[in-house]
Amino acid sequence: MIQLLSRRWTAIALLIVLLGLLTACGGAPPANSWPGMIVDGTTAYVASSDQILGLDTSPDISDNLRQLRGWPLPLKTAGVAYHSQPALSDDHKTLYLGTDAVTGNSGAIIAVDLDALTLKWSYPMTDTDPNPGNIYGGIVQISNTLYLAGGNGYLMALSATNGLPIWPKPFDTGARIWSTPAVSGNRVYVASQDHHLYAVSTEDGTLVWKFPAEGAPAIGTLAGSPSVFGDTVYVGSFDGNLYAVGLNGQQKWVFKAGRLWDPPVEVGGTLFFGDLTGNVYALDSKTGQPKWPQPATVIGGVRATPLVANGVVYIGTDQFKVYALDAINGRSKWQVPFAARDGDSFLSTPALSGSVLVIAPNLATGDPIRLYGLNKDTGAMLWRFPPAAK
Amino acid sequence: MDFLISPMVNVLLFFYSILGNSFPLAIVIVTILVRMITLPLTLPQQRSTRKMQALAPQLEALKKKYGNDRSKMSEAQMKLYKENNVSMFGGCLPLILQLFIMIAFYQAITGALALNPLQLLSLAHRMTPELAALIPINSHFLWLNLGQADPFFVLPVLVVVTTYLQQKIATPPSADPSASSMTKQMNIMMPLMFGLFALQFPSGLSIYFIVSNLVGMAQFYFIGRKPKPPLATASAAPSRLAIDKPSQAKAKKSE
Repeated sequence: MIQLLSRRWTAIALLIVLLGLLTACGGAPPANSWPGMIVDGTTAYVASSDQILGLDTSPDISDNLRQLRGWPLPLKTAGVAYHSQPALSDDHKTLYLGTDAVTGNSGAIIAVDLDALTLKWSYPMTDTDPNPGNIYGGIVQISNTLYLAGGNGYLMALSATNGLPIWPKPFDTGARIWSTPAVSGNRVYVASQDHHLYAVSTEDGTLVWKFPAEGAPAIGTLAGSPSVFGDTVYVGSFDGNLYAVGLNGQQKWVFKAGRLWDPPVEVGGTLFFGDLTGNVYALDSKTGQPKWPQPATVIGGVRATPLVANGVVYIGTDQFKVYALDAINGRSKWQVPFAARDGDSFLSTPALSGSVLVIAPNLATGDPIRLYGLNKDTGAMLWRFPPAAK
Repeated sequence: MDFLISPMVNVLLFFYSILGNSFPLAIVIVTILVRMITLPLTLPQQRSTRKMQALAPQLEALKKKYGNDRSKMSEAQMKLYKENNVSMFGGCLPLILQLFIMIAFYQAITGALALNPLQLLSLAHRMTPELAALIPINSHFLWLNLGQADPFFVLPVLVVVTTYLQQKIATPPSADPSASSMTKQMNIMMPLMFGLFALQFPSGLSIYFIVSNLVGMAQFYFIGRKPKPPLATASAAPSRLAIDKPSQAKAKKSE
């Protein structure tokens, strides 16, 4: 009988363990994306999980002054999370962010007055406005228009002043979009997970072309954003190809790499990007030919677009490493092998703030670290926020 | 756990691709496959339960004989089980294994559906290159979004009903009143707990629960159809309960 009872109690205990493993009880909502960050001078705005932070990035201020007064923004709403890369108005007085739902697929675009630290407007404004779905990608501000896309497959253009739609209706790709649109001239380019890159008119949101065109061979999933430099749109795919597409929608060249997420950055005619298998590439932007003798290899996959500044390529990896590579030959200048636990990673593009390399970690659930400040020349840690407990 | 999740994700995606991009069908097929693979572990448990059910009359007799003397009753019950090769702990290992598989399957379903960027990144690392073109997976089926709980509670109700039925037919008898009452409580509690899971977790997991329960019931039914091996009678039990092989009982007495 004791054995029978113990078997029953084992079953109950295992069910309780199962419940614990399957659910996350209490605390901050579990991260479902990576932090979004924008640096403005010595201020970093970070959208991370359930908080929007304003932090001073200076290397020489005390830890207790690192967080700007009045932050994190008092916008906490149940079930809402922040991961979208923010955009800043031209006068630096308004911050625009996308939101996502902790569960489900419902997002919003919000405008925050940085002087009053209050909400200026948010969209959708009514129940009849189309919901963009979860906004994981960034917001692009050009003149007085915000361009963004969301999990419901819509590409939208809103007035930066009041949040009202610019186009008669959103451009619907029919599949979720988790990336940031790219704007150049009178076109906005967006990569949808329906395996197409779209060029849409900035004027009225109508389709100009899509790549690949109808009837052309299909390409892999487009999870990341496109980027535009000169007369070429670049987009990476899960099929491992980096596609260079002309402004007319025709493919110019294709480069085979590992599985790709975010697009390259172009500096001085060279494209820099990494793949999810841990290779970093430098290509001629016109021809797609490699510029380094061989790709640089890093530990962990590279999801985000690298930061390139002063001849150095800064990269974070999904194995929680940060690298500084020589832009000429890809050789490592320094690297920071943070001690990683399972789930710790760097998935966002770093930013420079003076001599400080600012990088937002994506930490295993429950860890409160939101930002690191590293010496851009050595990788030495200058500060972290929140500071380490003493 | 990754050694279980990654293969499950790829097998799910493989069946998704060959079953007309139907994720529910892929879940059904993989569930049946998982039950077949774990058959060597679940069969002994189910056979033991069958034997326990067959020994119910002897247990009842022991209960009458020993009344409230729990320690003697327990001793006699163990003896009876031992003589009939019924393992009490044989059921624990499959239970633990099934829970591990359930957790891995839950993660494989949500991982394959990749409903947020972190899950998609994880999937990008897990899936084989040949299956990458399938992403994103169609997560909609009838009224369901397989990555979310059933909003109309149809699947949770089916989970509760099938779990209850499976528990009911596969519950071994007990001569002890307290164990028996606890078993009754468990037969109510377990389905309700699984129903609670189904209310909170992706409906794809509910499909796994339901199919797994149905397969479990079918397995149990087919075991019962096989001819029963003769049962030994505990020496502590009255000899009139020696339902099989009286000569064996006699031999034991003479020892």
